Amino acid sequence: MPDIVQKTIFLLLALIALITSFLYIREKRGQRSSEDQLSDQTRQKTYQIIHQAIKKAQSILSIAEIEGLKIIASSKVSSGKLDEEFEDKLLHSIQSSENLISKEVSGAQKVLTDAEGEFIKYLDELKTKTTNLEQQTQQQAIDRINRLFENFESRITAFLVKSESQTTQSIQLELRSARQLIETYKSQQLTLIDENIIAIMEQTLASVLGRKMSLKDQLDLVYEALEKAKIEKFIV
Amino acid sequence: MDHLANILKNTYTLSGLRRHVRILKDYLINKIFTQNQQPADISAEDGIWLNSLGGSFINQFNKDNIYPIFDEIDKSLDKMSALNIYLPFPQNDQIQAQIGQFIFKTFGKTILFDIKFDPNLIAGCALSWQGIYKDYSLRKRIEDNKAQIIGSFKKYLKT
Repeated sequence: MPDIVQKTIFLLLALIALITSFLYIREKRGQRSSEDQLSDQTRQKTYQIIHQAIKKAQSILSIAEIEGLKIIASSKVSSGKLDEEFEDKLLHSIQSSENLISKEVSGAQKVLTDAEGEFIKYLDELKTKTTNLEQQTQQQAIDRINRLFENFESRITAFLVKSESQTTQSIQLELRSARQLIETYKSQQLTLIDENIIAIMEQTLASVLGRKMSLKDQLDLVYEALEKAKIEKFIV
Repeated sequence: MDHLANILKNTYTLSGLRRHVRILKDYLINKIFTQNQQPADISAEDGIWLNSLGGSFINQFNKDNIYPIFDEIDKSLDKMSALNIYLPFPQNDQIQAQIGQFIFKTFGKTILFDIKFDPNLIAGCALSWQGIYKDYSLRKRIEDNKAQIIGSFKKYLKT
């Protein structure tokens, strides 16, 4: 209701402003010489109209004031009632919401309890599963390590066997080549000895016979050579 | 040649012969032309040889025939060839004499020889006559039997 009063007052003020502006404009335009009288008349009429409008506006304003006061009074009364109703309703709603909340709380508590139970159950299951998983993982790790060691052992064994055979082979090859070298050297030395044995023998005999053979024996050999020369008729 | 034959008695080598001819010539020249009965400085062996010639041989020479005889001897010497004997041991006059006597006994005549030293012969000797060399030494025998000797060594090595 106060809105209506305000609106009314606003309308009146707007009307007054409009009229005033119109008059002002007319005043400004009133400088024309040929239509001064008409304008005066018009001015007068306008003044009258304005006066009437102001009166009406004043009356309307008073009526509006009265109406406004009425409305304010009634609204005060109604607002008191409303307040009471509101308070009642508020209390009621508060109660009902308290009931609802308590219901909901109890329901939520129940749900929470159930959830907690479920959660504890879940945790227990999780713990069991985790323990089992841990054991499984441990066992798998142990198995893997064992397999790794077995694999490593078998590979090392294979490698060692291979290395041993290769080493043995290379040693045998070396021995064979060394033996061949020795045989070659031996045969070369024997060949050298074969080639030089006569020279060795001659040198040995020359150094030995010179000391061991007597002059008589030497001369006997010379006589033998001379006789042979005679037989062969070398000396004629 | 009779004179040479006399000189060749107990003379075996060509160098020895030349030496004896020289000694005899010197002795005879001294005796004939200087009345010096003593021979020039000669070794004991040469002195013995000179005495072995005998007085009758020495008295054949006089101042008229000495030089012609020795010229003839020299010419004969130049024509003479000697047997070269290569020995593996050093020789001396005694060895020369023994070899010379053996040659005379074996060949029935005096063959002049020259002894050379060749230790590579080991034993025995090598002979060179009128430019031909023949090896009768132990070295030659070893070379001739080289294969047999090597075979024997190899048999020994195998066993």
